Amino acid sequence: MTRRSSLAIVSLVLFGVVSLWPRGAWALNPNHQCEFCHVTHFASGGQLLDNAVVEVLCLTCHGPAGTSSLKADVHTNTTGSVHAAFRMTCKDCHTPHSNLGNWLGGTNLELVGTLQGTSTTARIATPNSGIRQVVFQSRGSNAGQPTLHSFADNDQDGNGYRDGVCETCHTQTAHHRNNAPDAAHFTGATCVMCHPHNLGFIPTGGTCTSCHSLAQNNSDGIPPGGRRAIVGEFSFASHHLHSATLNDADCEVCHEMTRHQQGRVRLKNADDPNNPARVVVLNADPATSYAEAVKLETFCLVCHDTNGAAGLAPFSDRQMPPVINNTLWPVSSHKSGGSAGPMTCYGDGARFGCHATGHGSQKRKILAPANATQPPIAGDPLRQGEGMCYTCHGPGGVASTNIQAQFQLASHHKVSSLDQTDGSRIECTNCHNPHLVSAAARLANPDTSATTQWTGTGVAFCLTCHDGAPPSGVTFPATDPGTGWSKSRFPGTTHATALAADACRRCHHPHGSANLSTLLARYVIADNNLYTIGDGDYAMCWTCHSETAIISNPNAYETRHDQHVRDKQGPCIICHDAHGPFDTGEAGLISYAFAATHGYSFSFIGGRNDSTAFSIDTVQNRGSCYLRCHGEDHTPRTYSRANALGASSIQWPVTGASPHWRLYR
Amino acid sequence: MASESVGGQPAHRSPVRIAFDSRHRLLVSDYNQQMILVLNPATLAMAGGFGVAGRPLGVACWKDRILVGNETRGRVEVCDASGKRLYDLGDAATTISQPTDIAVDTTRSLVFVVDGREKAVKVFSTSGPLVRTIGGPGPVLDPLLAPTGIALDTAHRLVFVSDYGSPADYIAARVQIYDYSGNHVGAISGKQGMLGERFSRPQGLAVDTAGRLFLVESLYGQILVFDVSTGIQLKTIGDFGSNPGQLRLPLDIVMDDATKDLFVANNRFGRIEVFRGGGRLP
Repeated sequence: MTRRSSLAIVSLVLFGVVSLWPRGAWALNPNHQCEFCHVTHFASGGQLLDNAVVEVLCLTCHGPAGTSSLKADVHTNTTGSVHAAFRMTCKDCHTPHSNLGNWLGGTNLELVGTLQGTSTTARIATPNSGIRQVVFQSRGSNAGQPTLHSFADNDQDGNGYRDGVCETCHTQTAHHRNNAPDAAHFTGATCVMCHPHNLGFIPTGGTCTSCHSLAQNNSDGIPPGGRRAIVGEFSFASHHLHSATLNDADCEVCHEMTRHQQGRVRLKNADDPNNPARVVVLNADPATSYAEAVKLETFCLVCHDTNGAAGLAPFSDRQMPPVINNTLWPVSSHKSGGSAGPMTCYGDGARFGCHATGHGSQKRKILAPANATQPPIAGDPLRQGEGMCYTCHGPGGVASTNIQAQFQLASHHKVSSLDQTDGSRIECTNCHNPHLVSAAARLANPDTSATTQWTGTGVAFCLTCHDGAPPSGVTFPATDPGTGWSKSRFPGTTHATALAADACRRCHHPHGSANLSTLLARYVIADNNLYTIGDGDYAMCWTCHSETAIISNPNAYETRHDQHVRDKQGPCIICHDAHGPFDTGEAGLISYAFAATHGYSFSFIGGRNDSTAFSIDTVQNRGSCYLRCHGEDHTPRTYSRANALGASSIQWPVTGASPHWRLYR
Repeated sequence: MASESVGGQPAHRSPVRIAFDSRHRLLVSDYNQQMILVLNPATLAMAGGFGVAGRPLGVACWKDRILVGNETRGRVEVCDASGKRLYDLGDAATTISQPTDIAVDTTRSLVFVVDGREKAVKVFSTSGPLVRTIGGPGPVLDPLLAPTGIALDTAHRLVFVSDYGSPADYIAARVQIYDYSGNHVGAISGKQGMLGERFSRPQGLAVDTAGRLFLVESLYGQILVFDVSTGIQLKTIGDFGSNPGQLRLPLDIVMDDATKDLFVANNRFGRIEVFRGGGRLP
């Protein structure tokens, strides 16, 4: 007998069996007419005896290029699964001929269930639980149908039997097992929206947000404990876009999906999204591994450049990303890291990276860690302002300088919110851009919101704020702007000229000091100050000027410095304005403006004012002053100007820099 | 004859359609991986590829452009060589419900798209506009009932469309043949004599310069070769099975005109089977 003859006989027998099979009340599925699968006389498809061939037969219509709109693939587990490989093919779950009745008296949908043994109701021969009943009368709430008797209803009818078409087999899955209750994972929903049949139920269907709004764990241990819930992170304090507008296309701006569910996060290059060679694949947690984190740098910078994502805003919120200077970042101090080691964008916020997951963070600017679990500091409990910087630039931080300690000194720029109850506002990032800062250019331009490096002089830098018109983001105390409000008259003064471009920093520390007004040395301004030579009360002055020459020895003003400062206990500031642009007839930055407005025992007499308080007689080389100090009228007091020492009293640290100068340069 | 695996992991591979690009590299649409894979035809090694925002079915090449039938979007996307989508064929009102296969007449700048769900072949200019529809809804003589694959004989301006037919109506699977204007000019039936059948689930097609039609029979796992002018079956290549060179749910075929090598998308095993010189017939 030839093979073809044998097949013909088998086919005839099959046809007879099918024709005479007791079908009860169920009708043949109209889409599955006999002739679609069986050739009645000389079927060359003798392989119909083989389930694997039936699978191909089904997939000729239900496979990817098939003619049916119902696409399907066989049920397998994912590559790398911790569970043994399995393969549930079409006839394991479906009878191809018609919908079967189920044990609860209803009729199943989608040909679900097979006839097992002598039963005439729908059952499934499960991999681990023997032959079990299966009930599938509803596609669940996502399809607008009742949840009861759907894919997995967690025994909603309370008959003690989990008989949904998914849960009746499952015993090892993370959710919806027939041996354990599970009401937490989309119970009663249409499972195939996320676990599509045409991908073998591997959960790549549905929307990104529908699956990743909850934690995902397929028990493969990648990552340990599974993937955390993601969607909620887009509602944190900072995020790439808000969860309310998040859609799948937004997710796929960053995430390359061709290996979805295969254990690795894969990220696209937004400028070249279809180039597999530019896909970044993470093999470990970039928050704890610099090697992994640094892979992300190019991925981040592709969007955070001047052309966004290939010239467009990356996400549906149409916001162009903040630009990171791709010329200056690679040579920045943070990039190289110095003694702390190299840094990159992503990290845990304490070692090698400042930013957390791109989804969102409970801190500002997607700063790390996203859950803000670092030890809080006073004034910045979440460590999202100066506290973020202090994580490295504080005690025990990886940076070499403890900047936090400088801001804890007696006088300091008020970067802490605890200092800003007076309405003032200034932050580290007003002066420094962490993406631009380098040893050669530590400052950013406050007038450009620190988006560009500062290229001017040190004096001009300070005056961007202290010019009476502070930039956006900087606010002086509302109740008392202080003398620092405007130093705009300082350029061109004697000190400004003599101390040159970095004049401010010759006397002031930019962060803070133990002295008044962030001065580098002690400088008492209180009236009636008991001063003795060498006690350091005016040490700030003595860093440049000779205390001996000015106080101890007779000079151009005879012994009047000694009389005023030591005997009469008048502080320097009564007569001198270190920032002053003019002298009241005498050289030496003489100005009484501060004293006149700050309650010192001082006033002008004889109708004089700050500009006319002195009268100089160049013929006699004498001077006269018209003031009332400590209750004593000078009316006027006249003094000889014959013994002027001039600049010899000055010991400029121009060539021999002071310790302060070296420290803070 | 040889067979080798394409990229990706077997459980996830699903090669559907196959074509040559302008650099004579193989393009393979992978339904599950949502990718167009680029393969070296000599080694079948991956030479590139790009992702598709949806499930790709048909794939073809026109000059340096790659055309992708995106089932999810219901569009044929015209992409550059890197996969960047440049434009879609048709306008917003032109639906392509299931772009299962694509063929291009480069000389005439025409793109023929099989729309499986609308049971039609839609002909577009390569610049985008819809030119005409072959088959489709309505009373049509010799209609397309369940079209799947397509091939062109550009020399004779003929369109070959594989069609499952309608067994319930006793209409056997066939290859419908139309001219470029949509006139039905013939068919090759899957029936063999009174009772038998040669093919049942025809999928991808290829036509060589000698007027021979290579048809992929997806159920029986065979390549059938027909003389187009007579409809006579000349040869059967391959058979159903799981060994190298055997086929299980093969879906498409392309022939290298120079070497006569046949490349077959062998879906169930996620492989491209190569029949070296398989297109060389007496």
